Amino acid sequence: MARFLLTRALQALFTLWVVVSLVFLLIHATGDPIAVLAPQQMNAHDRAILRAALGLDQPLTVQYFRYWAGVLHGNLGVSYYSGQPAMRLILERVPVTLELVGLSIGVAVLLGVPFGIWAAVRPDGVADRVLRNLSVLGSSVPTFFLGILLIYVFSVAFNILPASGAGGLQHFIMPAFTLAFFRIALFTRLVRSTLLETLNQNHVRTARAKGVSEPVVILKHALRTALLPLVTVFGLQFGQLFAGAVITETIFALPGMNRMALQALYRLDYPIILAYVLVVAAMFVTINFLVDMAYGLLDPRVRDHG
Amino acid sequence: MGRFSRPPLLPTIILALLILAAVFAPLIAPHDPEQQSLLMRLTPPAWVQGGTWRYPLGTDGLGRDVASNIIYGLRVSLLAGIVSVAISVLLGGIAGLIAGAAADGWFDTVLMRLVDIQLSIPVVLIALAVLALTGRGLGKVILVIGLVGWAQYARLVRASVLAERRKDYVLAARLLGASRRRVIFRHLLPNVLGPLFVQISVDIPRAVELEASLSFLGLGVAVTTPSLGLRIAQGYQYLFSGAWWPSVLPGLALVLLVLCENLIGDWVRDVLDPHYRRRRKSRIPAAPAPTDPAPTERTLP
Repeated sequence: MARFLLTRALQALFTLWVVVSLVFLLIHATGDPIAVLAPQQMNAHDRAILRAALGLDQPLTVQYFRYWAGVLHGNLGVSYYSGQPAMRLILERVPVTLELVGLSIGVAVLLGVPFGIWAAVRPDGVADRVLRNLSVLGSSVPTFFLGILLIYVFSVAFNILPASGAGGLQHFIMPAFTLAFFRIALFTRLVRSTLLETLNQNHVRTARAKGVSEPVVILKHALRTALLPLVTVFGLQFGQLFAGAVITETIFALPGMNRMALQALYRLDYPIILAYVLVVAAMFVTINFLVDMAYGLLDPRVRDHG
Repeated sequence: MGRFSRPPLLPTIILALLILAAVFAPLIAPHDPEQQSLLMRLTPPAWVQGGTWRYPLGTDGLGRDVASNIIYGLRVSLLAGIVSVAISVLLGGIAGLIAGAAADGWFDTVLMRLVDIQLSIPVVLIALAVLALTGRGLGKVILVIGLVGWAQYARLVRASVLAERRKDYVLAARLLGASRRRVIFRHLLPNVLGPLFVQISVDIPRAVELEASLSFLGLGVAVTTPSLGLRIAQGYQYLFSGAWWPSVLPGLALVLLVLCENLIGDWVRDVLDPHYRRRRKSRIPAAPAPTDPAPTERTLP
């Protein structure tokens, strides 16, 4: 177990190093932050001073090793604009994003799983057909447009929910639903198809033959097997949700870390971009690890074979 | 569900009309999409009080005709969807064919590692980063969407080639003295086309949405290009004063286009994917087939 954990930790560090290095090279190879940062009337001499002050006059390799030396000392640089430490700025915004992503995963699971069961109980029944059509619609409405429709209905026409900003839970209702919408459709389809498949398996037939009641068969015997693929997709979706939150945070003006990273991208604020990438990559790695663990707990076949 | 099942009627008709409208945009559009008439700013659609049939779907905040912008916007959407997917297919398809034909060689190993890395990073983030650094423009957007889409095709084509090349007809062709290139292009390629079309039918609506989303975020087309996503973003600010048409109507056009493409895509999958056909008949879904489009983002984020 200890060796397993150590291997995973090393793999995780390796992934972080690769991802951050790739982004570092990409942004340094293409952009010039001074062109965005310096006021138009600034002369060449002052620009050179500014460039030197930010260390951007050094060769790429020097900048690269300096960056990693800083990271190893827990210093990810300061924002070119506010002068605040990049890591602190990003970490301050993490809770808003986590709340958004957590709530939308919650909404997607709480609606998607029951919908999927409902559709699978009577394949090609009314519920199944309605849900199937809704799920095609669900995957055809772009996130940003769904957000706009919700804002129009609930903020402009009926004025019952705030359109922007972060505060109480009411600020998260529309953003979380917007972000969850596509996943509700996805989870419904997934649970339906895996449940239908498991309902044909031997252990379910055995349970039925023993005289176990139908709800117990479905909820206890079949659903447990059917949830395994959901756990995998759940892990994949977590990553997609973080990326997707860029648009949701922009529309609803939520002060999350994705919106901050997007602004940093517009302004080529390198330290913020890199700190964001590091945080997101770290979260990905952690979530993947947790998903692997959960898989072992849910499926004895995986657990026993290590 | 036979091989000759007909395409869904309504989506096909609507999509055909949308494509015709896009192709003949200059003939159909009542106005020049860029023409501003500031005196007629925010005229509501004709059926709403205060509307006029001169602007059937109203005007936006700059006095531009919404209907004309939608028609020209469809042009941009369709162009972005089709050309970018063509780029992905070409790049990924060639890479996958070579990797599959030379399986277990170094090229294959390197390529599959690259595919894994590419698929683990959300497409939106890559597109955002590249466009933020290179600037906007319809050509760039199409190129970026095309470039980030290659991995899916490389994996798919490689898998199909690996499955096909062990079969007897390939051996027969070889024994008859066919060259390697002839085996790949004349014998293998026609047999991997099925799964390829399925993936293409899933990816075109996805690419349409991606272009719209990037343009919505201000990282897509230039401000003067009538992209639906850009027009939705520009109309968004008037939403709060009750003028819903400059953002909602282009949005509905986008949803209609993507919805029809998705429904036709489902039909393509039914027809071309034997796995799905069998499943429909028995009414019991099987585990995802190897040719299943991966459960990744269909809508954006």
